[in-house]
Order: sequence, then C-alpha cells, then structure tokens
Amino acid sequence: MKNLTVLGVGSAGCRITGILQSMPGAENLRLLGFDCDAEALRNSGLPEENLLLAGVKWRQGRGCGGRINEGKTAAAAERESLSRLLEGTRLLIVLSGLGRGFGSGAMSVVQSVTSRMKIPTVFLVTTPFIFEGVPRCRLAEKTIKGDLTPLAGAVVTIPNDLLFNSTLQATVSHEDAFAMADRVLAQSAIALAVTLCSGNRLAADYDTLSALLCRKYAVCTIGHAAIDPDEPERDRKLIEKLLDSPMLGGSSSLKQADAVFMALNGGENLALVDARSVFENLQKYAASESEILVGAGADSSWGKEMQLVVITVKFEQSEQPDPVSDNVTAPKRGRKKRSGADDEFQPDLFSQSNQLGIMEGTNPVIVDGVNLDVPTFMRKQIPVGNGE
Amino acid sequence: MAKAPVIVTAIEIGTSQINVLVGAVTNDSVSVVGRGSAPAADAVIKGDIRNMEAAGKALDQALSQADDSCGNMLLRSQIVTLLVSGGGVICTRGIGTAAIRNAGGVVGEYEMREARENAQVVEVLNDWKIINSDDICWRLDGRMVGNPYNQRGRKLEVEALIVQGHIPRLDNFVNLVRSSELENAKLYPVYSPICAKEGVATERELVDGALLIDLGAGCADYLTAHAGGILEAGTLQIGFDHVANDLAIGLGLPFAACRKLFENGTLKSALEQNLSVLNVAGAMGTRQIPMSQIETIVDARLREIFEEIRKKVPSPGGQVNGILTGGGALYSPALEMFTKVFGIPCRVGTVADASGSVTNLNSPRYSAIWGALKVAASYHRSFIGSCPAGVFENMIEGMNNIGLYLPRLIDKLWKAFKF
Repeated sequence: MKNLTVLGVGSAGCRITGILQSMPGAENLRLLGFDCDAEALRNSGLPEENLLLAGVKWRQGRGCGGRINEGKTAAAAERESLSRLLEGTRLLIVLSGLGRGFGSGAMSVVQSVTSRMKIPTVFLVTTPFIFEGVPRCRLAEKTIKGDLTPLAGAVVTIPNDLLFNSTLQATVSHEDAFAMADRVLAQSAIALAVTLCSGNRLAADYDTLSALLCRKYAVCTIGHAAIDPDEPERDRKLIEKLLDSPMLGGSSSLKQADAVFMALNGGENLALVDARSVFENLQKYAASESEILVGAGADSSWGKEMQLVVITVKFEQSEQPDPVSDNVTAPKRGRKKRSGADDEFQPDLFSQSNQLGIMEGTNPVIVDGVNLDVPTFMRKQIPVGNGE
Repeated sequence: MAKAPVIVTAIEIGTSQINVLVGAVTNDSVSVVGRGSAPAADAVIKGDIRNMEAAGKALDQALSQADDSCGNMLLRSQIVTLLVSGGGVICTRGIGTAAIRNAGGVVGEYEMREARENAQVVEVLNDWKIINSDDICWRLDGRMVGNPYNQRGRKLEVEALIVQGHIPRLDNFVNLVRSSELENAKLYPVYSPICAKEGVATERELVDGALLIDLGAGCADYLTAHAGGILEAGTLQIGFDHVANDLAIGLGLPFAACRKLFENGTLKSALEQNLSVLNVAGAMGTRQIPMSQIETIVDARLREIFEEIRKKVPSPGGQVNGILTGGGALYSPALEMFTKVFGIPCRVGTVADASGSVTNLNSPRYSAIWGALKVAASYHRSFIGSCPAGVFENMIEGMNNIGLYLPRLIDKLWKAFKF
C-alpha cells in the first residue's frame, strides 16, 4: 500500500508530515517533503530520498522569504522532479499551511502536476491565525479560491483559529496546543488516506469526497479520537474524545455543518456493527439536513485501537449581487447627470484579456475542438511567473 | 560553343522569411548559383498570406538579391518551384494500375508513368486541384517491389500520395510570383514536406523508416517514409511563432523581443551557459526572467506540437530515424522533446549535398528550399529531357514520346469507334 502518499509542502506541511512517521498506520504511507528551505526539510526528519528541495539553482536552499511568487517560481522549476517523485501514487494527501511563502506559492504547481498525472488528490490545508494579519489571511484565501478550488478534486480548509475556539484547557501551553493541532492534522491525514483507499468495511471513496468538495469553497473542521474497542461505554467515550478534539470546534460545528465526513478505522476485529453504532450516535450531533458521508476500514496496522476521524464541511454562502436601485436613472442625451453620491463610484472599465497575442484576428487552428492558438500553458493551466 | 546552363529557381514564401534559390541544372544534379532572402514582415502567418502587398515587396527584395548574386540569370529560369504549405493543402491516397503489354513483358518508363497517372484519378473537391504526387509503394502482379523498372510481369500497381491544394489559396502564391518578373517561367507548386524530404533525408533513412518534421515559424510540416516511399504527409499550422507568442503572453513581453530570443540565439546560448535568469528588454525596461519560466512555457508548446503530430502519423515500422529540420531545429531542446515524445533517436536535418558558388546553406532553415530546387531540376529532366538540351535532342525526345503515347492513342480511338 506504499502507493498512498502524503506530501508536505512548505515548512508547516513538512513538519506535520514528519510527525506522521511515528504514528500507527504511517508504515503504509509514503511520506514526502517539498520545500525551498533546506533547513525546514532537514528538520522534518524525513528520509533524504523523500525530500525535494525546490529552486536550488537560484535560491540555494535559503527559502523564499515568505514571498509567494518566489515560492511559485521555485516550485515551477521542479515540475519534472515532482512528477518523478509522485510516480506510482494511487492517492495523494497534500499537507500545507497557507498564507505565505512556499506553501501558498507551490499549491498551483502541485495541483497542476497531480492533475496532469491524474492522481486523486486531497489538499488538507490550514489558513493563518487572524492575529497574523489580514493580508496573510487574504493571501491564503486567494490561494484556495484561485489556485485550488476551481481545479482541485477535494480541498479541506482548516482555519488555525479553531485552536482558540477549542475546548483546550487554559493551562495548556501554546507549544503544546500547536503540537496537538499538528498531531490532529497528521492523524487525520493518515485516516483519510487509509479510509479513502481501503474502506473495506464501508466504502467512502475519493470520488465521494471529491463530489462533495469539488469546486466549492468550504471551511472545514477536523477531529480525531482513538479508543480501545473493549473499553466500557466505548461509543460514548469515543465521541466525547472526538468532541474535545482541538481542531473540531466542538459539537456546534457538527450542528452547523452542511456535510459531515466520518471515518472509522480499526484492527482486523472491527465489525460493521461497531461502525454503525458509532455513526448512529455521532449523527445525533449533526443537523438533520446535513449530508453525511461514512467510511470504515480494518487493517492489522491499526492494532487493537479504534480511531474515529470526522471532517465537518461548511460551504461559503455565495454572494448575491445587490438589486438595481429604482432611483438610478440614466442621464438624458445632451444633459448632464445630476450630481450625487453615485458620481463618486466609477466601475472598472471592461476589458477582454488578450489570450491570443499576435494570433488575434487570424484563422484559428482548431484541432479536436481545441483552439491551439491559445497558449498551451494557459489551456493546460500551467502556472508561470513573469519575473522581476 | 558551350551551351548556356539551364536555370531553375525555387521560392519559399515563409512566415519568418522569404527565400529564393537559383540553380544551374547539370546532367544529374543542380548547383546553387544564387540566393536571396528577405524578412516576411508579418505578410505571412501560419503559412497563409495575410498581406499581399507586403508579401510582394518582400518577395521582390529576395528576388532582386538572388538575381544580383547569380549574375542576373534569374530571369532565364525555365522552371520555378514554389513551396506550399499551410491550411490549403491536404493529402490523399490513390491507387493506379497499368497493364504491361509490351513484347518483352518488362516494366518500362511508359508503364510506370501510366500507373502514376491512373493513381491520380481520385476524388477532387470543387476549388481544389492536384499539385503533386509521390510514390508510396509499387506492386508487380500483387508482389511488393521496391523499384519495378525492368522487371517482368503482367500487372503493375502503384499506391501514391496525392497532394491537393485549395485553388484560391494557391493562386495567391502563384499570383505573387507571377507579379514579379518571373511571369514567363513554368511555375509548379510543390508541397513543403516533400521538398524537405528531398533536401535532407538520405536514401537509407527513407528505406529503413523516417519521421521528418520541418518546424518552421508558421507551420510544422511532417512526413513519414518507409521502404523508399512516403506513408503520410501533412501540416500542422502551429510553428515557432506560437512558441514566441506564448512567451510574449506568459511573460508580458513584446512578441518581437520573444521572437528575437530564438532568432539571434540568445536563448540557445543561455541554455548552453546554464544561466538561471535571462535579461530581456521589455516595454518598461529590462526584466530578469527565470529561465525555468521560459523553459516551462516553451516546453509545453513544443511538447504539444509533437504530440499533435504523433496523433496523425502511423508508425513507419522498422528502425525509424527521426529528422528535425527547419528553423525550429536550431533550438536544441526541440530535439530532446522530439526524442521524448516519439521515443526515437533524432538528428538535425541539414543540407549536405549542395554544391555551387553559393554553398553556405548549412542551416536547417534551408532544407525545404534546397529540396524544392532539386525537385525543379528533376522536373526539368522529366518534362524537357536531359540537358543541356539542344534542338536536335529535343526532336529525338519528342519522337520518343510519340512512340510511347501512340499505342495508347490508337487503343482509345479503337474503343471509341468500336460500336
């Protein structure tokens, strides 16, 4: 099952992927790191042959200084190497922290490579804390909405601010809190990978998750809990642990979710009746109109433990355009429009982007319904930067 | 008294430049005596004429240069071959048959010519006409043969590649040449990939199997050959101008600057020196562009060009040789991409057998026009006879032709009046 891959992108992604190494279930995964900061890659603890240092020719492993375009350029230079690294992958989970630098910059490149190689990919990304500043949060949102959501199969966006809304005790230090958050994300990545590929008790495959998340911007929360299946009141305790998960956002997130994805994994003795019991109890916390997706898998690598992962999905409400006000009248010919507040608003001049360059106005070259005069990189959505 | 050499001319009205080659025909070859070229100045795009006036001016400039370089022999041209490509040309296949009726039962020139003519009896749409044909393979009594000449048999068949051209588009090119001073020469349009094959492919390659791609500024012409015959030929109206256009759009640079990167070898030397950034003059001053971005854009387009061609060509079979020629072959990553996409070794096709006072035709840009000059010379030998030909030789040739065609004429008359 080494064809399940987790790719950490950027320093946060590589760090979380490094944590994965020591977790149960990780022996079935191939763990890779992709960054332009050589030190971050070294600190991840991943084997050297699983690391890809981007833009080494012109960044020399120094990192991109938090500049997204530099990160994008560095990542684009490693397309071929990344393709080689991902060869043979059956399912890919991409872990990354967005908002600056390589993590955000490389997303479009990773999406483009996986799309070209037709690898089912789940992007598990985090957005910055609000205290990191609005520009960074906007950048993260722009990356998700611009580079990922329109093209990727499944994007699970987890806001870091969930940590402050969580049920963590006040005595927990911030290092421990961040470490817990990293662990939750790591465990969720394993659970996702295993469930989507080998839900041999109850199938919840990639296509199901993709159909739920494809081309929709959603804010997600993620929870993880593990328990010994022989423990008394197992279901209640498992759900309690889940609701205490720092990145789940408590029972309210389940209640408000538009969709809930539940995955239960355990050892060989895991029975379908166990899964049914857990899911039925958990569904009571979700709204009745929520879409519920479930999956369950059993594998000896999980040992005796039963692990529950839940992802809640809340779609962004689409913005409705303001209705045209009846008070606005077009000026009559030859007369000046009456001055008013509307005069201060000047809409953007409509301009059509020139996709054809010098081929504009020529007889188009259409092959199999495709206009080959449009630049290849545009049609195949290959990201390019235009230098300094 | 020494006989005056027979002069033939080849003209290429290309997207990036207009080339003229003037040759003097000898018994078995042609030597280059003059050359002229001029930038096409956006008069031609994707192999089609966009601006007749601008194309005419550029052609006049090239002809004038060629005339000066050959000592004013250009106007003595008896045959002019004109390279055609672009969207107004299609290839079909025809099969022609000839019965071997002569006393010896041996295949001669007459039978081969008859079979070739019969192969051209194919469906031709309105506004289209046949401009070229080339042999694909010969069969003698059902048995495939390389060259049937002088072999015994009863029935000869030829499968031929028939090239048809769209008359209005062809007329644009023909009228352009006619409006220059070559109005008296016999003008023959010739399909560009066939000329490129004549120019650079070796006999061995054509027998073993060859895939030739002429990557020009406006079009990519392709041709596959095996056992000495052409299997497939065609044109994709995507060329190196599309590569430059992609760069201009992707990097926000002027198109002319991007085209120059290829024409003056800036990009080639940047790759050889393994530079990581390239300084390019843009509208707002000089910009530093990472080479990886340039390579990403260029590689994407090149790969697509070759992949589109790969969809259209059958596998020639056997040990296939790849030949990349045209201006695009000067960009070395194009050669690597060819090998990557087609999975066969590839060489750059350059002119190797040119002779004469003008011999610096080493660039792959001249492959097609050199091939067109060779075709012009072979047309002269085929239609007019061996040369230099005087009046007496032409009379003998004329009588020989009557001997070839008279039996056929009698046969047709007999059938017409039989009933």
